[in-house]
Amino acid sequence: MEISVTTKGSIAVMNLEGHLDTNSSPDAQKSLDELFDSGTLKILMNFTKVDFVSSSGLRVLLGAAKELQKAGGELRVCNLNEEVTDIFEMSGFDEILNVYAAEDEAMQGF
Amino acid sequence: MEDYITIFFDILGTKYKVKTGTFTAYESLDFSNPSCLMAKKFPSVNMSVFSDSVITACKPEEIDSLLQAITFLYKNWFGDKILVRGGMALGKLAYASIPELDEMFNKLDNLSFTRVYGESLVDAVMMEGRSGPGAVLYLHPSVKEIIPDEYIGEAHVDFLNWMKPGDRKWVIEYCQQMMDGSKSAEEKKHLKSTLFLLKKCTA
Repeated sequence: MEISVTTKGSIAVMNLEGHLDTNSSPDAQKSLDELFDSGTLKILMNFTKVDFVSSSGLRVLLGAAKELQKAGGELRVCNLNEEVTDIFEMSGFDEILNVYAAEDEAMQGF
Repeated sequence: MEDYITIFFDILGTKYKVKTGTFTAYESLDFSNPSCLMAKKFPSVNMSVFSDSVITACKPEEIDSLLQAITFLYKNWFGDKILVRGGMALGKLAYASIPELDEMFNKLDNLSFTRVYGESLVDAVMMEGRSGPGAVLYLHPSVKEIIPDEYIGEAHVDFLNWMKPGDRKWVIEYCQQMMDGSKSAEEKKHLKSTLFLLKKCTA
């Protein structure tokens, strides 16, 4: 999985590409840990190029959301494709996480 | 008793992993979670999860939902590198219940049960255990007729080709990675067979 992080003010935008699963979860976790260590409290994960999220991928997202919430921050996700939207809805992650249709929308009021 | 399509899924190599301390709670969660999601999405497809196995069953007319569920399950399991073998059969199956009592029993936190039995379950379990190595879903002759041709992978025992266009490449890549990193001769045998069978599929 390709992961890149850009900063927009106090917000870190993480762009992911490929499957978020057992293979890629450690990389995603590492990128998130680096952001936590740097004191970043607002993280937006852009899923435009994520085609699938497995159970282990959901666990990384849940862990990140909890970590940020504990520190007074927030995790937002945006641009889910149809399959990932379906997975989020079935698992209840659409209610656990703050999900937005587009990056612009997610940045508003963040 | 009514006809059901019945599947018995089982994680491969659990005993070895438990004995060597490499079976984790995450593996248990990542194995069972997709079944929970599919039970939610497809109310007509029954799922019973116990330890490292899942019994899945539905009426024959629900085959389309079942095939979608199987694709999701295998995609998740391979994505999380969990090798699962299954057996699928068509035949009699029954869910026994005593509604007046079960309402009470189902409220107990220390009890969970599914009273399921029948010929198709016996056949599905036999197909899983006696069809050879490989993380695939082996098909009993009884079920082949109702499965669309494009879903049938032909081998010594026919199996279900669950892959959608675009899945074949990454699934084979993941199996190869697992084989390269595996320290278990048994697991390598299953992976070698899985690769052999999946490469036969043209998805």
